[in-house]
Amino acid sequence: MSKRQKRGFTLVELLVVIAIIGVLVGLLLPAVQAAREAARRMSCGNNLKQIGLAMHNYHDSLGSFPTGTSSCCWGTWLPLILPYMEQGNLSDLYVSWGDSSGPRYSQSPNTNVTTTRLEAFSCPSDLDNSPFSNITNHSYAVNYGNTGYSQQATLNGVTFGGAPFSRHSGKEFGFRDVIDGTSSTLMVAEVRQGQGRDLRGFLWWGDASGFETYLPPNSPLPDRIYSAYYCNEVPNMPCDVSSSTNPTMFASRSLHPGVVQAVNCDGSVQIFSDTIDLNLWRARSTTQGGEVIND
Amino acid sequence: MSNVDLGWIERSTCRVLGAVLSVAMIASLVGCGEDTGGRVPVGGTVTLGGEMLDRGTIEFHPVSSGTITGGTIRDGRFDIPATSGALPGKYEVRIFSTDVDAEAVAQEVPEDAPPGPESERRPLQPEKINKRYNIESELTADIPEGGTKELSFDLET
Repeated sequence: MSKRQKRGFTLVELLVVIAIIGVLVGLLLPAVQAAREAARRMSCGNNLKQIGLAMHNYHDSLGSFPTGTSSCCWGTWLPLILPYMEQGNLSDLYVSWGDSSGPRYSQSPNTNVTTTRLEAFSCPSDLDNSPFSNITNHSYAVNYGNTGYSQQATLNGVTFGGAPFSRHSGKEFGFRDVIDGTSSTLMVAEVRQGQGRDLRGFLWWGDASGFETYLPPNSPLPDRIYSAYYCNEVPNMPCDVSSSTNPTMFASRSLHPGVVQAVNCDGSVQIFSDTIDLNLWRARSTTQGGEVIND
Repeated sequence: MSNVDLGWIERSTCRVLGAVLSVAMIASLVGCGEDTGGRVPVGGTVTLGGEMLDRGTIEFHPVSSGTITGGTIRDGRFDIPATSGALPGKYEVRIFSTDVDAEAVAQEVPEDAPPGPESERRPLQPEKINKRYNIESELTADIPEGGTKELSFDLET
């Protein structure tokens, strides 16, 4: 029909092929990314399971869960359960746990321990960070109950209902204290590591060693740190200075879309939606609140 | 019959293909809108003593049923997206604000130092807002169907 011999592709054919490939990539890429995130979340949940089992082994050996923290600076639950996470050698390097006349978490020789990046305490979805002197942030925190970090008896109308961890050495709780039931009481949940000099997830330090359920998971309301100097707001991680009405507290947070994970006192790992009823979320953290939970 | 123009087939095929592709592209975008479970966005402004409240938090506590939601106030505005928004209905509103402890920080914190025992000695920053706007709140808000960006709270000091 024409003298010229057609060879190769026409522009239209090329455009159509590019468009088809574009549509396919557009459809597949989010699916692949979602599958990758699902795998990271599963790995993250497995870390929680291991921490839960370590807590149980600790309880079997010593008759109670570890202390949440010894005041601000002389050790938290983290060095205590390392021997039950096959990190006994590291734990042996930590000196003067609970002795306020000895070196703090941030002083030699304890920095040999606290500058270590522990994979078992780092969620793959989270962004690893070391805010000060190479001391590491991590991604899991223990349950200090439904008011603030200081476990206030009441906070803006919320009554403290007991928690499986305390802030004072010599005051440990065990299964016997979890009257609400071990399967309906949170033990350890995810937190997000603060970036820059942000101290969220700074588990070696008392304040950040736990989370509180006064705030919902991935709360749009800010976490409270005693000084705004240590706040570094990144998206979905609001932060503000502690005040008389909103004292120091840290919400459970994660980078998984729409959920956080937690391990209950019975060792079961559970996923909680960000939109969980706040009263239910608070009830799930108390050991002796006496709430009727039906979830 | 060799000089019959068959170009119209090619052209119409192109048109059909084009139409199919654009439909497919648009279809792939459907479903990207997030399911918010009936929650709607809430936004507005807060002033304290006639001036924009530079920094604070706002909480919406349901009067009957539902869950608590809220957000941060920056430069007098708050914008809670639908994903963390409120269900339409009546709410008690609580507004909190506190000054950043910039001076205390400058005096106490040496550069690049992890926190020590000063965290337990430091008195808490005082609440700036009268308690009748937060813990004993008289403020209420009606969140309409479809949400709002126009809420306005004018607080007295």
